[in-house]
Amino acid sequence: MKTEISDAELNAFVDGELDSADRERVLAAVAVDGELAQRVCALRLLKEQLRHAYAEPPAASRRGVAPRPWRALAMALMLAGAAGAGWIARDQSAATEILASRGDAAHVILHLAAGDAERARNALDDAEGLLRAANDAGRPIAVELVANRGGLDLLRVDLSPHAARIAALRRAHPNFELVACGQTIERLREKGIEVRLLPGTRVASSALDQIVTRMNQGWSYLRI
Amino acid sequence: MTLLSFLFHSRQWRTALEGARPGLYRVAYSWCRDAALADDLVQEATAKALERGDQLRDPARLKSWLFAILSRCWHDYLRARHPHEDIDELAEEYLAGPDSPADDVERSQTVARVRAAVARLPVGQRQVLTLVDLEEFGYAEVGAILDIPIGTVMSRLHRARRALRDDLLRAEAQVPLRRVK
Repeated sequence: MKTEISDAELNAFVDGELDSADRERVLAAVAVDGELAQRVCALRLLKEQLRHAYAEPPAASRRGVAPRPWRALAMALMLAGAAGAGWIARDQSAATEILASRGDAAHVILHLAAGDAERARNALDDAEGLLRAANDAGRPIAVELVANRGGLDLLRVDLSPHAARIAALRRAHPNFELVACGQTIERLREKGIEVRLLPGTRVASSALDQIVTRMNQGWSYLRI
Repeated sequence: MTLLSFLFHSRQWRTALEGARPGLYRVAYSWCRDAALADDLVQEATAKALERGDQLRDPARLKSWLFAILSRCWHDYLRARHPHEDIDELAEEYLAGPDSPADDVERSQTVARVRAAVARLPVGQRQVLTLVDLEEFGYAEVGAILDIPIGTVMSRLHRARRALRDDLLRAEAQVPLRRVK
């Protein structure tokens, strides 16, 4: 005897949407009905084809260098949060409005402690995003990038992959400061490595000291 | 909100959003078949998610909440270009991307065929199909994401799969697709 199984039920079967009683019924029907079994196979194959077709979507090719505008937005939100304004920002322009809405200057300390290329790039993207957003809003801002441990490489003349970008950022934004951790430098020196820093980099006794000092002064802290 | 709790949320958010990104992009691409547009849609959805973070009461629903925002972004995009049409019924000729995207050229024949067939589905069916098969959302979740009844989810899914199957069978039979009407 053939059980009637609707297309909707078969779809629900392959999608795992049936409860166990209905599943049982479909399984029993499939066992005795070759044509039904074929339809189940075809549906499963189709699912598989679809998944395969989008397993590797083409990489998004973005024009220009605006890699992570949402990240800058997250930080603008952070500034708003630090001011107690909460979550209100529609997009980059609204974020700049928030920046503009407060009279006093924004202060942000970015902390880079790891040497991997992506984080170093993120640190610069974040710094640039903040400086730009504040600039666009005509609002004063101070951004300090503090580097220690592996993160210090970003500020070392012979190792920094972004020396030119950092120099350009500093030219465009005099309120963008670089701070190196004195302890990390000392540790390297003990190993016989002489650290040469990018021009204009200040040395703090330690990254932690610098961060604590700044946070006591009311700066917002962001670890990259 | 204190600075610390804000930072905590902000960090959590960033991690969650970064994690959701590949899935959102994959689905956005399957909808519009245009890498740059898909990326724009994901950016926009992410920005909206950040803006409305406080509206998400149940963190367990984060994923479907993000896809709902993504879907609204895409509908807004289509609505702006087709103000007088039923968005759910729009099919391939209304897509922003070129008919035979360069991205697909290097892909295997099978992959290109499936993507083209998906693009020929009406928007409403395309969305249901990709949410179920690519992201493995349950029918009820898809209904919530697209704001449609579960019965509509099921009927669209059935129609989408039938159309896709017929389309792929035709392609395998080497019938030039452009001439099939």
